[in-house]
Amino acid sequence: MSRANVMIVDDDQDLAESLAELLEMSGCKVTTAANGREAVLSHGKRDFDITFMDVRMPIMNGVDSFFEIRKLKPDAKIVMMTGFKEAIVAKALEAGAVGLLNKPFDIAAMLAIVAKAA
Amino acid sequence: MKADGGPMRFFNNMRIRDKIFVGYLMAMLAVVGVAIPSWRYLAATDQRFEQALGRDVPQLLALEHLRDKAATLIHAVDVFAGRMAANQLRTGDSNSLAAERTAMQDAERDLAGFLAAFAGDLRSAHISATDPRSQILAAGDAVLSIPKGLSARADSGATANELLEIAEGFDTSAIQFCSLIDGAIANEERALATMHEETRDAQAQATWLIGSGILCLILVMLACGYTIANRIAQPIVRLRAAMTRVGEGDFAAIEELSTRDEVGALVDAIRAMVNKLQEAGKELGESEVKFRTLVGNIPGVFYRCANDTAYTMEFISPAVQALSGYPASDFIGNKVRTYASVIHADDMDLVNKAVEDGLNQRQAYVIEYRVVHRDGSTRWAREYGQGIFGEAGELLHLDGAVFDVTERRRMEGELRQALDQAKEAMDKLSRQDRLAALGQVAGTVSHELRNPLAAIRNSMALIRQLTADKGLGVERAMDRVERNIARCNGIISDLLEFTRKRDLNRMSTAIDGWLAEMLDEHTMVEGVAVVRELSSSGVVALDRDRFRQVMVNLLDNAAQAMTISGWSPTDGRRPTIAVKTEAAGPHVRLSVADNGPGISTENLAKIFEPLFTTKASGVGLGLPTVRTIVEQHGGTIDVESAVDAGTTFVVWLPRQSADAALPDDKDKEQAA
Repeated sequence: MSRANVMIVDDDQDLAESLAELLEMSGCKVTTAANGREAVLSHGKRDFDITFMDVRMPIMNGVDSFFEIRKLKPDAKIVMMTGFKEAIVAKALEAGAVGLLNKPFDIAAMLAIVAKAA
Repeated sequence: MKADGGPMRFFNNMRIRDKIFVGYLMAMLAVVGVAIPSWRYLAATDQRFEQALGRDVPQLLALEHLRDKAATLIHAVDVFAGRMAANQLRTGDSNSLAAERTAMQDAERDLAGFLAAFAGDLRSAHISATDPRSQILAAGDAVLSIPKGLSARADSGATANELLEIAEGFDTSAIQFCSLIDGAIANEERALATMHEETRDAQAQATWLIGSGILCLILVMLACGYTIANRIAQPIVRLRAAMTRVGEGDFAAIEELSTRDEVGALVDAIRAMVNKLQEAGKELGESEVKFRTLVGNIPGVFYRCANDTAYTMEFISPAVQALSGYPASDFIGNKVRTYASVIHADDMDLVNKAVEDGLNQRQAYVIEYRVVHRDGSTRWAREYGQGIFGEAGELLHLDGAVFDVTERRRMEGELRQALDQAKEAMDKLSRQDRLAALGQVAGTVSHELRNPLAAIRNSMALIRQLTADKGLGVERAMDRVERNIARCNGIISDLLEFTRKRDLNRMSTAIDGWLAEMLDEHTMVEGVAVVRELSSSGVVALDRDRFRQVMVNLLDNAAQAMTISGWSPTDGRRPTIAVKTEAAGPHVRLSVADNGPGISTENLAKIFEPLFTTKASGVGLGLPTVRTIVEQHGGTIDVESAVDAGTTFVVWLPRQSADAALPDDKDKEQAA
């Protein structure tokens, strides 16, 4: 696997950390953000091949963050992650989110998406 | 007028036509009364004057003629006698004087003729011997006898002296005659002058008399005219006064009038009319009394108002006083106030619109509005009204009825309130049902999860032993696993805590002191300040363990909100939690306020719902648990929040009354 540039956005630090470690073992370069606003700020600084975005987060939720990032970078690839069946996610998917991962998901599914994006 | 005697009463009772006729008759009589004596007096004066003139003037003329003829005869006698005497003396012949003799004889005849005429006039009258005229006649006869004697003496050849003696005698007679005539003439002239004066006096008197008569006549006519006019006018004046009194309702006034003239007939006609009116009025009055009794007894306000800008009230029933506190007379004719003035200002637009719409569409309108009573209270009124239109479609007036529906509105309000309460109670029940169902499931699931979690934890401990000192670098991942197992246990505990029904173990607690102690023991997140202002001095029956949970939850929520990564206050203020208590009537008001990021309105509505959370970790049972505990204490909890300003939770706890029988700490300890 190539050195894909991946961003993990999740306010659950343990989850973000574990995903990051798994992706890094697969050769990815991973950046984490604790909420939507941090993710937007990071996207302003650099480009990512793919972003995994939790929905329910403080400060700025995943869907709002998705739209903010798309304003900066219309081509940004973003995958939504959620533990709830939330209607709000549909807005992001309609607007061009790459996919949806329902928590808890198999790491293999995530790696497949990264491989496809890189 | 009543005191007048017979003739006046008779006159009063005459017809106006006759009164005027009598007036004219009196005026004519007065004219005749003045004119006839005046005329007669003037005529008498005139006649006397004429009579005097007819008698005296010819006499005067005759006398003057006599005098002239006497003078002529004297002259002729003198001439004849003188010449004869002269001839006698010179020649003694007397025949040569024939001419003078003829002149003398002519003069004598003349005088004799006039004297005869003068005498002839007097012959018919009886004249006394002392009358100057008979003396004149006698003197005339004496004068006439002399020339004849003279002529005869001359023929007989008398001497000159004898002739002159005769002439002298003649002169004496002639002079006596002439002086008698002169006296008579003077008498006549004096008489004429006197008569003239008398006539002038009489005329002046007549003029004065006639003038006075006319003046009297004018005065009499004025007096008559005024009296008659007065007599004619008086009944009419009295009739007018009586009609005024009738107009004021004194129907008896018309009965007091009595006149037999045309006004009397008019009075009779009016009297008949007034009687009919009175009867009609009585009937109308009776029907009005019935109507008013009916209207007065119906518990509603009936009105009729004019279609003008002020909706001037033509009628409004007395019940308006009960509704508004003002008497109906205030509103009728808008005399003191308009009906609009008692309508609540906020309802005016609604009322105006409903009335206008109703009139425009020619439909009855029904409006409910508030009426501001005189005593300041507000009543609810329900009005049914409609426009009344004429044949030509023109709006004549507005009729309607207004009912006081305050009681109904109040009952509706109470009913609504009761319904709301019932609904709230049902909501609460159904929420509790849902929570109970959830609790059962959660309790079961939690128990079921605890065993697998225990297996995972034990396995992890085994892996940790097996991998110890092997340098595999898995410690970090293993720490994470154990940490998350603990989180799962925490969540399960929360669920069980929330779902478990526990009775409170309450103790009388001085809330301020207890809170101070609790805050001292509580470990606050680094960087967050806690300020306290505990001044309620209240005693609350508290389950201290359970209420500690409430406080910990509220404090941790506030601290987490303020220390969340990615947020910092825009004005750089220090994150602070203010815990405050104060007395509020029968309650203690306890507030926990942070100056953190605040909660959006959308989320604020849901924060007390179970399983709602904005936090990464947590199941959303913290605040529902808090609310449950507060409500178990008989209190309530509210929240206020403003984004970027902070959130304040306010807990109202019932203050414990002085005689409350709850055990305090010591009792509890002793019991233990």
